Amino acid sequence: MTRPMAADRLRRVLALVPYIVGRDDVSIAELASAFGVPEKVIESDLEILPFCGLPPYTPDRLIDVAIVDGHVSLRFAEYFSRPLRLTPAEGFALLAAGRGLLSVPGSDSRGPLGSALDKLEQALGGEALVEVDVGNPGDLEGLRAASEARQRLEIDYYSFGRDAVTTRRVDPLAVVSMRGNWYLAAYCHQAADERLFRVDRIRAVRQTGEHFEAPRAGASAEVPADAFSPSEADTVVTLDLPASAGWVAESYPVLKAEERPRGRTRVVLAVSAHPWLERLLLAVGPGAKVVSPRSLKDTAANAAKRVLAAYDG
Amino acid sequence: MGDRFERLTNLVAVLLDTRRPIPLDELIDRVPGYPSDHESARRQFERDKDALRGLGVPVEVVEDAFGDMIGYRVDPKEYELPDLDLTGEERAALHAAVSAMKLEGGEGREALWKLGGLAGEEAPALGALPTVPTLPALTEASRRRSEATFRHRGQVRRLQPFAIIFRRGNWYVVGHDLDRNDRRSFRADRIEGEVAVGPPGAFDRPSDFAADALMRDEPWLYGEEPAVEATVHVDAVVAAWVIQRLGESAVVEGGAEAGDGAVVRMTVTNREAFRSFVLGLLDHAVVLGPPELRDDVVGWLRTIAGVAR
Repeated sequence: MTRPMAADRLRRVLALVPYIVGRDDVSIAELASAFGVPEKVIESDLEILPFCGLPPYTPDRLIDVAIVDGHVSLRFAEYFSRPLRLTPAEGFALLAAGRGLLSVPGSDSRGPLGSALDKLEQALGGEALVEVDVGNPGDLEGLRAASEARQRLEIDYYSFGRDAVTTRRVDPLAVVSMRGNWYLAAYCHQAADERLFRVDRIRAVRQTGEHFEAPRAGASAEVPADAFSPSEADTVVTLDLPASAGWVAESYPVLKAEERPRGRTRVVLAVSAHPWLERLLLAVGPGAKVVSPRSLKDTAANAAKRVLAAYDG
Repeated sequence: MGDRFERLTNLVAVLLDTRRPIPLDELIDRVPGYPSDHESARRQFERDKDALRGLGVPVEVVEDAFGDMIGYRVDPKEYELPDLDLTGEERAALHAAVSAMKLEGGEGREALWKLGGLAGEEAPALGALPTVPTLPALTEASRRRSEATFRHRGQVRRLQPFAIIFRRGNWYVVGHDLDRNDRRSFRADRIEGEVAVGPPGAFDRPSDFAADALMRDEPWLYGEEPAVEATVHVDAVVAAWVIQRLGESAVVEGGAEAGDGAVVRMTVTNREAFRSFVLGLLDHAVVLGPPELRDDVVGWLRTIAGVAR
């Protein structure tokens, strides 16, 4: 595995050298902070540089590194005096993050971030029109204010999975946007645990007049990477699906998928709430079967009858 | 492990420092660290060249008038980052953006190294954006006004990419589809394989182009079926969510706060997607009309319920 390491290091060094060359007085501590790496990493980069240079690799052709009292200077590296151009992936990363932050309600597109992105696009050779819309659901600003002021709230929350509205007392810890949805990370007094609430499903917010203490360090706002990760309370369900339902395995976090004759698929899913399974089965249609557990085999038919009753009503 | 790093660094240095293209044999001979066997050395050089290009080093192959290869070099004008002339405040703002909006697998920090280092403080995490490997190439194609060619759900598409857009959790490329001669949007994560980017300056983005209009994530409009206008009653439990999803202009009666919900209007050109959307609302939604769509949903439910029509 030396290859990716060598390339990663080269990437850093090709930025590190111009950084040093462009400054009169630069310390190892400053370099570590500018590159977001430990000082040891910078030191080892600098140790290896004197072995690099141009043929015939005589002392006047090798990069000369001098470190005096933790201060670094370089000679004989004129060809590396400018950083390498941004790659498309690097340019995209800055644009996406920048446009993303500017799309958060309350951002100022005429501030330094906006002008930095304009300069970036110019340097990259023109405007590419990358637009990020993180949305602006219901009471985003109010929730952010409450989280900052540590105000305990009472919310009416529509749980999509359980298809029910519940009222909860929560201590709002952070408001974050993940993959296109806004979430309130909060300590929920009903659950006696931290929970994520989708902001667009919070139907009402009321002040309780109470305040809460700052949560212990590290407890807040760590949003789980996979909001679907199965928990112990989930039921494991095995479904037999027709060929037309290939999208299920793509769109849902299946634990296991197995090909069956005639294009059918058998999938195993962790189901946290009954309505969630109903939706899936109604969308797939008559070809879907619950293989196990047996107690759920009439789920689709019962759900269909219930919805039909709404049509008769 | 120092060996490969040193060789790669020396290779960039010698290619940048030269004006004259350097032939392969000379490179292998002069840069230390290549195997003595010529064939192994050549293969090693190919891997090094790929690694350098992977980092964005523009290793150029120079040929003579007959198409025979003369040698390699790196043009400093192509290599060097133009001066962006960023202020300290602007660099800090970019650092804050990269730390607040985490692009999964993104290379924002590496980009900032080149722009003068990580300035100011990290910002607390405010959000996360997914990414897709094709996005940088699509963005470049859009910037250079190059045609993009790619496979999407099994079909080859040729597109003039006007914009790259993130909405409702997905990245899309929006533009003019050259084969269908119409505006289209494609989910970037459903593109299969690489995106081929054509020569620059192949089109102009229309001056009246507004990405918003095209980009509502309404799968019931992604279809070629004749358009019908559906009306759906949604009860108070889901009304607020549905209205947010469809927009206020979809409301025909009632509203988000009304006790008995709302009636919303939807234009449908994909009946299957419409049915999935409505059934996703379970017994909180009822299709009122037209009869054709209502019957479709009722018939579907009766089959599932095992009830005769």
